[in-house]
Amino acid sequence: MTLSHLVARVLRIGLVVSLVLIGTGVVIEETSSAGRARKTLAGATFPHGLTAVFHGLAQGSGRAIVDAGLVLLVCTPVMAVAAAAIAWRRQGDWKMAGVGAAVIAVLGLSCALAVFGV
Amino acid sequence: MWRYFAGPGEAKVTWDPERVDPSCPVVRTTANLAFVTPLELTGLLLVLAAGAGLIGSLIGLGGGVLLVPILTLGFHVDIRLAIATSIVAVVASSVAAAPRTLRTGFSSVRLGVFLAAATTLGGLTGALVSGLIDPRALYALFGTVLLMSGAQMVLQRRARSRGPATEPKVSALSISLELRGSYHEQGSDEARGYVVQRPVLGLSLMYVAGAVSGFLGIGAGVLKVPAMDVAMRLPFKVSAATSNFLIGVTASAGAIVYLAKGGVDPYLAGPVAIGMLAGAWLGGHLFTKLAPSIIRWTFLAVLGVVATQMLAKALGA
Repeated sequence: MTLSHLVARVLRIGLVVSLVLIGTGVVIEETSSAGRARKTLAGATFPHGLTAVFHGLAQGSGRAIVDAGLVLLVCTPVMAVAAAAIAWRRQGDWKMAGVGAAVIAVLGLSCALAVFGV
Repeated sequence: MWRYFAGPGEAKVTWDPERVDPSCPVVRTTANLAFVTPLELTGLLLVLAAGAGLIGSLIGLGGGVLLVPILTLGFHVDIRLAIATSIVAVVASSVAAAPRTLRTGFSSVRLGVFLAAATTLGGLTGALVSGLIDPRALYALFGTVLLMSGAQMVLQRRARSRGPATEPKVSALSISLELRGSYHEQGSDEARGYVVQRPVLGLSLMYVAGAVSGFLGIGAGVLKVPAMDVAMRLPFKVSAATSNFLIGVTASAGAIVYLAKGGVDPYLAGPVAIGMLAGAWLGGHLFTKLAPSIIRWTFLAVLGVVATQMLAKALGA
């Protein structure tokens, strides 16, 4: 399998699983009485962090299922870069493995700085 | 504010002027959508997001540049919520379109990751210095650069079509990192190869694009595509497809932050993301079939609109 095919496969798997999760969550939300009766988005708190999402998933919340799908979706490109970096490392292409690792490190640093308000 | 409620009949979206709270992210619909059900609203969002995803994935912009005006002007969604939704949807668009363009060779993982090093670092810089520069000055600069990039793309295209083909100058960095590739146009058995030229200039421009992106909270694909097309002398379809992959990687950090902070409304982002996924998936398939000139001129038209918007913001219009 070529590197492009590997990355394409990671993206496709992430896409399909997240699409199923988001679609399931939207359907549950639209068909449930709680979803139909939802009042307003103003001042509403959406699930914060993975703990809230897992808690909502355990309760079968449509909103939490959509959120889990969204989290998986936005992490998919990072997983694709990680897969590429691992593949380059296995091939002995240390330069590109280093570039891939640097990209993931900067993305992680950006997230950490933003989340912790630095 | 617009409120979703389940009345005696079906659920409606209605307006309650007594309950407006300007400090909260509010999803409001326009007057002509006052009596759509939440299900119909979801369907409308799906269709419009699919259109944005189709066009965005075709020209390598992700689609956020189209989606934010749709949400803010069409649905009166609060700008903060629209940007958060858009950034998640842009990742969706990239993830949906990239597998197809990666398999056909139009998009390059090696080039995308190489350039992502600069865009992610630029994005971090832009976010850190965001309080130091007047956004209106940056909008003016951004709009001017876009117009110049568009003009350069047209002029360079004419020069390439008139003049004799010149032997590309390949830098040591391109050779060292093997920044080259090949792709097949639809209906052609001949593989067309390319080599990245002026990679350091390309990296520098990507850093600037990333900084603008981090500062203004936009995808900046309109800067990335010309940087690859004009500065790095890549085929336009390779530029657009690689930009699409690159935008997904860069935007993922912002999207994760918005999700972690609870700034993404799943009721809004869910349907929009599905619509973008569907549109971008179709765009990824159309991309390999359409002539490069069609994609290029579509890009230039969108670039002109975005540049005008940016200059209008700079002038306070």
